[in-house]
Amino acid sequence: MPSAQPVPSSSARAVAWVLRAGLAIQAGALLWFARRQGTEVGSALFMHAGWSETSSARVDLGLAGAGAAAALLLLVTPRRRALQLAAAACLALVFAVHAALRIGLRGDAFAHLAPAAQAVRWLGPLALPWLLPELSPAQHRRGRRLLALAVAATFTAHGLEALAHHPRFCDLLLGAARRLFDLRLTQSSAEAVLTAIGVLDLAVAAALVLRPRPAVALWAALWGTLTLASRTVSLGPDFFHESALRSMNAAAPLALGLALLSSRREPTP
Amino acid sequence: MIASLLTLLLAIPVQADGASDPLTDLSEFTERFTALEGTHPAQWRVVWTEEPQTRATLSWTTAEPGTDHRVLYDTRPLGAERFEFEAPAARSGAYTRSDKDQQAPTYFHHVRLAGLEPSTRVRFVVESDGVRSPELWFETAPDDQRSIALLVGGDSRSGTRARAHIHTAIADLAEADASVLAFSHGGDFVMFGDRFDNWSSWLTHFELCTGPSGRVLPILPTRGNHDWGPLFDEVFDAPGGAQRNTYRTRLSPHASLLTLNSNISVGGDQLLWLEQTLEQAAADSTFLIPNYHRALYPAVKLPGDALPFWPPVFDRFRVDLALESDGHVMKRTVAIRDGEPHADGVVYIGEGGLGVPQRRPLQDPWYLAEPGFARPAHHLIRLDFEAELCTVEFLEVEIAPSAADPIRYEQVVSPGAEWAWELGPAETASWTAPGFDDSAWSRGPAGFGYGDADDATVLLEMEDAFEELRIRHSFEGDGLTGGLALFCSYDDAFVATLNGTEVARGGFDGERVGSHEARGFERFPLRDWRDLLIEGPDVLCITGFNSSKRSSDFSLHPALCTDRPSDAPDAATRTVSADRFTLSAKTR
Repeated sequence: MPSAQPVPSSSARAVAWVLRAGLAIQAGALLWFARRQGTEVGSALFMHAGWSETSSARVDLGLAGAGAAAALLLLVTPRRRALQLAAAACLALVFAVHAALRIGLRGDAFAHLAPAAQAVRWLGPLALPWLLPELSPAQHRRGRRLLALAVAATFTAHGLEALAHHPRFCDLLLGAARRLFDLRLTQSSAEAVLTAIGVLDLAVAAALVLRPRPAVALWAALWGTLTLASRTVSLGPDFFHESALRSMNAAAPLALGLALLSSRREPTP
Repeated sequence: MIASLLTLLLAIPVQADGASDPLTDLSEFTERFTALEGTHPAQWRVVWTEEPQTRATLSWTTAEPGTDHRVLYDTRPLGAERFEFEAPAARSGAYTRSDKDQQAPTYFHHVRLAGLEPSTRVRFVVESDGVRSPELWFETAPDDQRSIALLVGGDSRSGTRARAHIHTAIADLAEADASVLAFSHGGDFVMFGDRFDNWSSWLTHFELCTGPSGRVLPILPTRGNHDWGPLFDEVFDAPGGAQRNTYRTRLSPHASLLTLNSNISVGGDQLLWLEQTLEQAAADSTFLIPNYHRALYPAVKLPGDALPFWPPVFDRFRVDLALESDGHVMKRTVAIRDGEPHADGVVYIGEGGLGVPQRRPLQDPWYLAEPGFARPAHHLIRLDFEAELCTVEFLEVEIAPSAADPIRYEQVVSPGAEWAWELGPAETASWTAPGFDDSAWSRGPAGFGYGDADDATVLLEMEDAFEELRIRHSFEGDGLTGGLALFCSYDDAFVATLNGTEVARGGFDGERVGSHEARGFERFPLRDWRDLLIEGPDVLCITGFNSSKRSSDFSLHPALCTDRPSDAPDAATRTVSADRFTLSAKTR
């Protein structure tokens, strides 16, 4: 009976570094948000719990800083799994708190979908410790499953929002059409496109859960890149941080696609 | 920290309307609120959208559904409660309730009046199954060049005490000046837009906008991001169309107010509507004023998604002023055109101060350079239109002290009194005794603390080093009568003794220091205090506890008062002019 062989390390390293890069960018963006205007954490403490603005901002910045420190740890200790695990858990917790508070604050349309829509941000980090190059194919399979679940959750939430013609998505389409093509789409046209996008997103999510294929994951990565870029393209360079915060929308499916590709070279037991 | 955040997440729905919070103390207003009972009309309001010269929607709430809802009205002084005309409710129904709603089923009624005359006082009562409201009145908008004024503001979703005071300020301004036509609310009425208990609280407090003469100032509502769900349309009779909520109000030939909705698509149908409506308004109105919730030139947050879409249209039609909310500060920008300062550009004002706690504004944006400004202040903005001029006046609203504020009582130990203080645990239990020698201790005025920028004696050396602060103050208790109470704003806990015997504590169960944020003074009546007084100076000692040495802040702000009212303060709300500028009509 053949024993399990390590997957080719260059591919596995690429998977891990793609994830680390995505996590570092999103953590940096969160820190920028916390410093510039505050995040859900500051709002919850100041507006709901009655804390002073100074204390709220400190906790907000502290939590975002913890996330940034964890991301830095991921970058500088790539070979130490215990530290990678601890840092990934810390990042996951930081972003899970933010996603959960979105439900509590309910200041946005579709806020109830935030934990699913942001699954790549908080569930994605947890996949990294299972996708480190030195681990076994079985551990990598677990990591791929977790990553697929995170990407699928994000695509499901965004698909549902698109089907419901999320006004922000509509404006991203309208704005991108104006900026890129000098084309003034009607709202009904944009909503028709959103319906098609919603169906496609749900199909991608289903495929990733039921039968993950590299092509589907790489399509998800391409789409994730386009959607995060649409913030800057449609709204202008002032909104670059909005794109940066969504870096895992591209990095998570890209890492999944690379992991699925390299898994094809794994020996079958 | 994580644990406390998760606890907070679970506690949010409870915290939103914390009744024991001094910031929500409404004791001086409760007698003025109409109880929701049976079919007794309560929570009345007059809603304006389009054609305020001839139309208005009169709305109210009842606790029971009833069967016969109408408005009796007249424009002539026929005598008390005599009316020639009546109009039945065009729409009645149950307010939508969420599963978290703490409010019993409650019912809305809307009567739509049409065919009114401009500049006319309309006397009315609302009636449900024969039960009437008090006699009320409003005035329709003019259709001539007479001077008019509009009050604007936004963000009343929390800070209910400040909100109630601002509503009384609105009533005072309307009673004092007949040229004040209406009140435009820039959105975020409530914290959770799908909960009628939140809306019911706001609607009840909105009754305070009714002046002593019965004048009801018409409201022009704007949907904010917290006002999601069907209740906004149920409360205001779907202003500008259900869910769409965009409309133009031509207040007079002087000005058109365009109410926009920053919660729906801003670059699609709404943008088309904005362009078409501005074109119409430019032809019949001197001043063009869009009003929307999410700020495009914000003083606190990042710009709203409408930034690439709306300002170019404002520039094209040479809009004068744009009213913004959402940031929780008071702000005015420089005049802006094509994204740059321009003498002939649009001035963006507002950002919301109708009750919500105010935030620190950004320091660096170019658009807040002088004459622009931004600072935290509960406020209203008054727009006066006269001839070819529009005067913008920022009215800072000074909130009267609450019943838990020592300023309202005869003070025995004032909030800024000097105390002896020492950090760290006591070396001897006798430190609370009257004869203890505290001459070696430091001295400073109350309040004590660090990390929250509100302390008279700042204890930076306490952070990371001490969990306890002990303070002592001697006073003469001879001749005190009536009740005595300790007033304390604290973070995280305290124990107070009088001549060595414990008389009050907060946030401390004897073993564990809890987590308590200082939210203003809280009142702790002292029992049996007369038995504790001694011959000679009495001594009040307080130990303040922090939950951890590493805590980011600490507060101990004490005062000792009798229960007799002081001479100095009253419960009135004052408005103070904080800034003022005038715009001339633009040539279009």
